[in-house]
Amino acid sequence: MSAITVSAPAPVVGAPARAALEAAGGFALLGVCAGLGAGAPYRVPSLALTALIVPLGAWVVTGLSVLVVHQFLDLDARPEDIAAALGQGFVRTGQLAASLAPVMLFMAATSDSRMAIACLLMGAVAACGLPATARQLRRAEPQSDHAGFRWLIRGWLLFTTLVGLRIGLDLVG
Amino acid sequence: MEPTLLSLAADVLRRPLEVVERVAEQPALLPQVLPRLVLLALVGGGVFGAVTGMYRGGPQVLYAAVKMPLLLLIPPMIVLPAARALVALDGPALSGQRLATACLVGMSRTAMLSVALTPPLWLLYRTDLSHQSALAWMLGSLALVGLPGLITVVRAMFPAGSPRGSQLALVALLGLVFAQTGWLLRPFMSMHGTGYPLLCAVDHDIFSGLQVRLLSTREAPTDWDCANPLVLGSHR
Repeated sequence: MSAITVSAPAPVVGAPARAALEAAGGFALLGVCAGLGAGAPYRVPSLALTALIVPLGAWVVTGLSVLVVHQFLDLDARPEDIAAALGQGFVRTGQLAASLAPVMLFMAATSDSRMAIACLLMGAVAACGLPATARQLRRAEPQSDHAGFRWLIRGWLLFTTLVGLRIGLDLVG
Repeated sequence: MEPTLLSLAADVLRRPLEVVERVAEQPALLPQVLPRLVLLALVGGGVFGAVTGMYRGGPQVLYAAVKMPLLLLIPPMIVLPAARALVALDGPALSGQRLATACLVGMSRTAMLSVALTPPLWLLYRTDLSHQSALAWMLGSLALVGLPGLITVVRAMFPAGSPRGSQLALVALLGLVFAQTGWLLRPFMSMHGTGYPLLCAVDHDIFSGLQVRLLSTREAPTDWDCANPLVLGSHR
């Protein structure tokens, strides 16, 4: 009997560049907390960089593909709308990562399974952030029922996950 | 009308979401409602903790009565920012007031439900129950009463029709932090023949603890209790 109803998320406040920087900071913060909580300050820069590069790289690489294929499919939304939806998704996901920093700090400081928890939380960020971005994309596209667009979204979800995993494995290796 | 402690307790048990909505619609109620919700969580958790501590008796009753409400109140504080961000992924951002009310309603509901389980638990603890079984009963009871509280928190925060993934993520996060907080605040019941530790030094984590203690077929490995206990009492 909740009085609040489903509606589109509030638009990201502030200049897009600043919002994107804050989101990137959110990802890095998660890595910083993993390093600080583990009592390994010398690992903070590398963990922060890893936590930032994985989502940023995956978003940039696959985002460009989405823009290209979207235009190729000759759908209604303007490229700016698709880019804005991707950007909003990145910002929201970065905010989610930043909000998980207290949990990361708590778990890293009190647990032996720090790396497992860090991977779990990054996975949770991806598992919530990617579908949320997909929903943003569907809202941006008037022909969201178009079969090609549905496959585009599915492909984006799959390849963003795979590219993120590949970058993560490369960085860890 | 200003709710009394008793009427608020009844509403939290019967119609928890209405309590959250009422406070959201009338923010003037907040200063009256929030302290009472905290009180309900403290009392309910304290009673459940005291009964848990009765497995061992002595100072453990007091220690567990103090620590159990903390187990209910600390995890939501750690997870609150994440809850807000999860809701904001697909909907309007929630106010801090609504988040706090939702968490406290859920936790006080869990605390009061835990009181309902104390008679059978106390009876069990008066039998010749092994430490391992006593622990399993306590964890099972907490899981049983924790679920309605978690569901209340999630339903009060997320608008109807929100994606299940975000809701499940919040439940999983709360569960993870609850489990680790419980591990940090242990022992709620120490083994017979040991001291009365208030807290243990930070070591390992809940996962290794569960693996050692509950999945082991051997009786009473001492790791679960404390590797380095902070003991304020004496041996019985």
